[in-house]
Amino acid sequence: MKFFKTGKSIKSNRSTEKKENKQLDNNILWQETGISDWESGYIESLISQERFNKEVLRFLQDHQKLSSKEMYEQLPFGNKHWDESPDNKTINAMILQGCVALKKRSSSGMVFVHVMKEQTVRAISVPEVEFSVIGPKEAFNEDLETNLVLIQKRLPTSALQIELIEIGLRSKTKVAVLYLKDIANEQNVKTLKDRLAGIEYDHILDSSYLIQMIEDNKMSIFPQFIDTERPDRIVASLIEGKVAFITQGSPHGVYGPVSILEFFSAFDDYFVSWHIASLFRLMRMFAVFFSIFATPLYVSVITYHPELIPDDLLSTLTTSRTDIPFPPVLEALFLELTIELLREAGARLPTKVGQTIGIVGGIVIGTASVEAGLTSNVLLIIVALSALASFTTPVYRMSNAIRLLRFPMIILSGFWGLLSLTLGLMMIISHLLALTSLGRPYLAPIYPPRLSDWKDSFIRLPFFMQKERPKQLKVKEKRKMSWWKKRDIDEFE
Amino acid sequence: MKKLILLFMCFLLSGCAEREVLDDITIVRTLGFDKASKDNEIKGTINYPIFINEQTFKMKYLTASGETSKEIRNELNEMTARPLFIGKLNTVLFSAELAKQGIMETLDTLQRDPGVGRAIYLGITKQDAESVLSDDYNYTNSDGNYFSNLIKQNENFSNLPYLNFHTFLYAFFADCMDPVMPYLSKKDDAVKIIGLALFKDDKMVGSIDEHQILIFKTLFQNFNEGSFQFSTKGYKGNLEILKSKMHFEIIQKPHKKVMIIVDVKGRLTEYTKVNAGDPRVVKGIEKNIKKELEHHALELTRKFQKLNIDPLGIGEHVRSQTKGFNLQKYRDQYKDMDINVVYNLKITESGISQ
Amino acid sequence: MNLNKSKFPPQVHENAKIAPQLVFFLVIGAQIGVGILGFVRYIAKFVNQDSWLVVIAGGLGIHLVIWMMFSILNKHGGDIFNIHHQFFGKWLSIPLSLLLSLYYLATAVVVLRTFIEAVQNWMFPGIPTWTLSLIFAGLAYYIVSKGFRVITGIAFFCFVLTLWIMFTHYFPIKHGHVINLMPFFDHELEDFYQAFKVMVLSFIGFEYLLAYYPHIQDSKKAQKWAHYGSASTTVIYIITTISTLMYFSPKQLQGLTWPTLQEWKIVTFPFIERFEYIGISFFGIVILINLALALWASCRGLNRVFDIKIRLSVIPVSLILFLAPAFFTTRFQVDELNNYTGKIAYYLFYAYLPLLFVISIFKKGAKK
Repeated sequence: MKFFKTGKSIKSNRSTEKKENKQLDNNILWQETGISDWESGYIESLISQERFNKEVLRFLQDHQKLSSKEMYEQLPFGNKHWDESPDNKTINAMILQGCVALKKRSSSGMVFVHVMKEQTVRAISVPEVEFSVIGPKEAFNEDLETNLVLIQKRLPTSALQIELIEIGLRSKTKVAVLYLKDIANEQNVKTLKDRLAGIEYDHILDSSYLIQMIEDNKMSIFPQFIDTERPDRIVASLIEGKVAFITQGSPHGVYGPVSILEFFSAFDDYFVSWHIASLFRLMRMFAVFFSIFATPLYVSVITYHPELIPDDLLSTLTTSRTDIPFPPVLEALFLELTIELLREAGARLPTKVGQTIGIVGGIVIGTASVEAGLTSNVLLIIVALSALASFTTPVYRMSNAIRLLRFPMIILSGFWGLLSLTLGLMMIISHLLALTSLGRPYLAPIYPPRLSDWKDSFIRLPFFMQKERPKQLKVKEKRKMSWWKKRDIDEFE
Repeated sequence: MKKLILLFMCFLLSGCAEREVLDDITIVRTLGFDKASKDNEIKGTINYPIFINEQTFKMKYLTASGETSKEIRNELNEMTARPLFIGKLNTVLFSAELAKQGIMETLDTLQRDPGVGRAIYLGITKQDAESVLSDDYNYTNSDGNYFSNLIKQNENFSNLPYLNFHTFLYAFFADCMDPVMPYLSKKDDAVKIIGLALFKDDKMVGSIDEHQILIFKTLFQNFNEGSFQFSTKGYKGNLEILKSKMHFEIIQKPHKKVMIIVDVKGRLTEYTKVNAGDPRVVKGIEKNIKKELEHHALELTRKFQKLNIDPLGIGEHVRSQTKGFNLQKYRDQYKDMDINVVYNLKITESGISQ
Repeated sequence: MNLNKSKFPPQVHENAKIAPQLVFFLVIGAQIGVGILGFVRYIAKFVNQDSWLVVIAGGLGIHLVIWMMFSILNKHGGDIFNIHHQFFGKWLSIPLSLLLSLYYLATAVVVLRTFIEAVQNWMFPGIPTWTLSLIFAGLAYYIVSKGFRVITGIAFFCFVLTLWIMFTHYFPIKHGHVINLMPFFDHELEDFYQAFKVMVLSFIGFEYLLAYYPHIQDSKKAQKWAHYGSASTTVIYIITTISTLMYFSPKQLQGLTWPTLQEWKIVTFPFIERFEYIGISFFGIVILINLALALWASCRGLNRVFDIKIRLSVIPVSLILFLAPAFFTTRFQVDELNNYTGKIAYYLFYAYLPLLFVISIFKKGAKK
C-alpha cells in the first residue's frame, strides 16, 4: 500500500484549514539525528522507533556523504517519497500518516519514509450479525487494508478497481471505492464517487455515516444501501456489477445500487439448495407483510368491521377483549411499544443480562398484563408474532425500518379501519416507487417489471438458470456464464 | 416523505369514523318476528350472546313490539347496555302466523341495511318465533349458531334445497317465481325441519311435507347429496342420491306443455329383502322408484298450480326459452299448463356389501 | 406565461418516459374505476339478458376510437394540445385544450364522488364527504408530484393488487342461474343503442393517452398495448356482467345501486366473512390510479397551454378535486353527474375524435 492521495481536493474555507497551512503541527518532534547534518521529524506515537533506527538511521550512518536526493534514490526502502520543496501542509499530512521526514539542514529537499507502527488490529472473526451455518466464516474488521485483502483474495483479477478517496475534513478517513471495470455500469460508479467526493463533514467514523450522507432520498426511512460484514457478499455484489465502498475503521462494506428485494435475501440463500432458499425467502417476505399489517388488521377489524370475524373466532376475540379499558388502537400501540422497549433494553445490556430481560419481559409482563386485564391475549400473540417476524429480515437497517413502519400503520387503522389501511399501503407503495438507489429504481424488478430478473428475487432459482446479471443494473457484460449444449437422453460425453 | 407526513396529518384532521368495537356492542345472532297482541303491531325477538369468561357464555333473548321493525329496534336498543349490532346476524325466523300476513316490510328494512349479509338464513316457525328463540336447547344453542348451522348442514348434506336471504329476494323480485323458506318446528329439546313454507309474493300460502323436500330439491336445482326413502309394494328402502341434474323442455309452444327431466344417479342403502347384486332385480327396483318419484313430483306441481304459485321457477325457464315472452299471457295460462316430470334414474351401486 | 407553448411538440426527458408495454396497465387501470361496481344495472335497464353483448360492442367501439387516436397521434406527433394548435390555430386551440383539461378533471371528480358515496352507503354511514376527498385528493397530489413514472407504477401495482378480486365472481356464478342469460338477442336495436351510450361511461380512461402519448418511449409500439389493455377491460366487464346477470333476477337488479358490492356479500372464506368490506377498501387503490392519472392529465394540459409548471398547477387542481365532491350531496345529483360525464365522453369519443381523425387525413403529417 502506497501513500494515500486525496482523490479530489476538498474545497474549504474553514479557518482551521488555513491555520494548518502556516505552521507545523505541535506534536511533531523535530530534532537532529546526530548523523551528518540530517534532521528528522516525526510523531513519536505514530512511528516504530525500532524500524526507524534499524532500517533508516543505520543506512544514513553508512552513507554519510550522500546529498538528500541521492539518499532518497539509494535508500533500500519501499515506502518512501521525495519532495523538492515541501510546504508545511504537505509535511504535516505526511507525518500524520506515519512518516518520518528527513532533511539536510542545507537543502530544502525532504525525504519521507513510512515507518508507521504496526497497528494492533482486531483479528478476522466470525460474522456475528450475518452468521451462516454453511459457507465462509470470515468477517471484515476495522482495518481497511485487511478488508481490501479479504476482497482481493477472492477476486484475483485486474478488472477489480480500487480507488481511494479521503473524506472528512478532520478525520481524513480513507474510503476505498471498488468495482469491476469490465462489468460495472460507469454511470453508477460515477454517481457513487461524485457523491462521496461531495461530502463535507468533519468526521466520518463509520460507513453508516457515509450511507446516510449519500442516500438518494435522505428523508426516507428505507435504507438505500446494504452494508454487510461479509467479504463474500461484497464480492458477489461486485461480480453482479454493483459498486462497493469500504471505510477505514468500519467493519462493514457497503454496496449499491440495491433493490428492495435484496434486503430480504440472506447470504446463506446461496449456500443452501435453491428449494430451501426460495422457501425461506418467500417466508421472509410474508413475514414482512405480516409484521407490518397483522396488528393494524386486527385493530381495524375489531374496531370497525366486526362483521368480518368468522363465527368460530367470535367468542375468543370478544372474551379476550372484555374488561379492557383502552380502545384497540391504544392497546395495540401500548403493546408494540412494550415490545420495542424490551428489544431496546436487551440491546443495551450485556448479552447475558439482555437474555434475562427478554425472558422476564416476555413471560412475566405478558402474562401479568393479560391477567390484569390490561391487554387482550389475542393481541399479545399477534404483536409478539409480528415482532418476531420483523427480526427475520436479514439486513438490520431494513428490519428497523419495518418495525418503525408498524406504528403509522396502526394509527392509520384507528381512523377508518381497512380503508385507511389500504390508503396507507398505497402511501408506502407510492413512496417506494419514487425511491431510487444510486439513481436506479428501488422496486426493481417488480417495477419496472423485468421478469428475467425475478430468478433471484422472491425466489432463488438454481445457478444454471441464472445465466445473466440483473438487467436493471445496466451492466457492460451481461452473461454470468457460458451456454452449454444440453445433453440428450442416453448421450454421454 | 415530508408530503407523506403532511398527508398523515390530514388523517388526524379528518378524525375517526363511527366505531363498532367488538366488545362494546350487542352482537345479535338471531332475529325472530311474531304477530303482536295488538293489531298492526309485530313483535321482535333478538338473541345474543353474553360472555361470562373465556370458555362459557350464555345466550340471552329480548322481546319488544312495534309497528315497524325500526321501531322494534329502537325499543330493544333502549333495553340493552350496548348498541345493537346486526352485522353478525345469521338467522331470521318468522312465525307462520305472521308470515301469512306478509313479511316484506320487515325484510325490506333488513335488505336496505348494508350490515346485513345475504348468506343469512330465513325460516318459518310453526310456533311463535319467541318461544323458539327463548330456549337454549340444553346448551345446543349456546353459541347462537344453532339455527343457521341446522339449516346449513341440511342444505349441504341432506335434502334441504339451497335457500337463504338472497334466494328469497331473488325469487321475490323475479317475474315468474315465488319464494320458499325452510319450515321449522320446535320439538322437545330440538328444532326440526318439518318441510318448506310456500309463498305467494310475501305471504305464506301453504307448505310441503318433510318427505317432499327431496322431490322439491330435485326439481329446484342440481345437487350431489341427498337421500330418498321409498316404499313401493311390499318393500321399503333408502336411495342415496349421488348426483341429480335437471333441465326443462318446452314441448308445446307457447308455454302449453313443459317437461322437467331429472337425471338421478344413486345407490341403494338399507335394502335387505331382495338380492341387490342381480342386475335384473336392480332394474326392477329402478323402475319402481322412478314411478314413485314421478308420482310425488306430479303431486307437487299440481299443488303449486292449484295455489297459483311457482316456487320452482318454471316460468323463468319458459321465459329463457321463449323469444318475445308475454308475461301477462303466461300468468293467465299457468294454472292450466301441462307440466310433465320425467326421472331418469340410474342405480350405480348398492352399498359396500352385495 | 407563454401562450404559444402548445405550438411546439412536447419535449420529454428520456428519464421521464415509460416503456410501451406499461401503457397496458395505464389503460386498464384508468378504465376500470367505480363504474364496475354498478354499471350492469344501467345497461340491464335497457337490454337485460343481452347486456354482455352491449359490453362487447362497447369494447369494440373503444378499439376503433383507440385506433383513430393512435393514427392521429402517430401522424402528427406530439400530443393532443399540439395537434389542436396544428389543426385549429393558436386562438381556437386554447379553449379546446382547456375544455379537454377540464374534462379530465371532471372525470376525476366523478370517480371520487361516486366512490365516496359507496363508502358512505356501505362502510361508514356518518363520514363527511370532505374528509374522504381530502385524503384521496392529497394522496393523488402526492403521486402526481412524484412524476409520470410513479403514476405508471401505481397503475401497475393497482392491477397486480386488485386483479385477484376478479376471482370472487366465482361465488355468484356458482350460485347463479344460467337461464337468466337467455334468450339471446331479444331486444330492439334502439334499446341496444341506448345501452351502448350508457356503457361509454365505464370505458372512460384510455383518452388520457392523448396527453401522455409523448411520455412513451417508442410511442408507436404502444398502440398494441393500449388495445390489449382495453380488451382486458372488456373481458373483465363481460365476466362482471355475466356474473351479475346470473346472480340477480332482473327486477331485483334494478333495485340495487351497487350490484357488485351485493355480490360480494356472499363471498366467504373460512378465515373471513363478508367480503364487501375488503372489496370496498381495495377499491380505494383502483380509485387512486384514476384520480392520479386524471389529475396529471389535467395539469399537463395547463402546462402545455399556459406553460405553468405542473409542480405549481397541481396544487390548485387537486384543491378543486378536494372541494368539488362536497357539492354533490344526494344520490340523484351523483347520478346526474355520472350521466353528464357519460354523455360528454360519448360525444368526445364518437364525434370529436372522429372529426379530428378526418381532419388529420387531409392535413400533412409532422415534419421529421
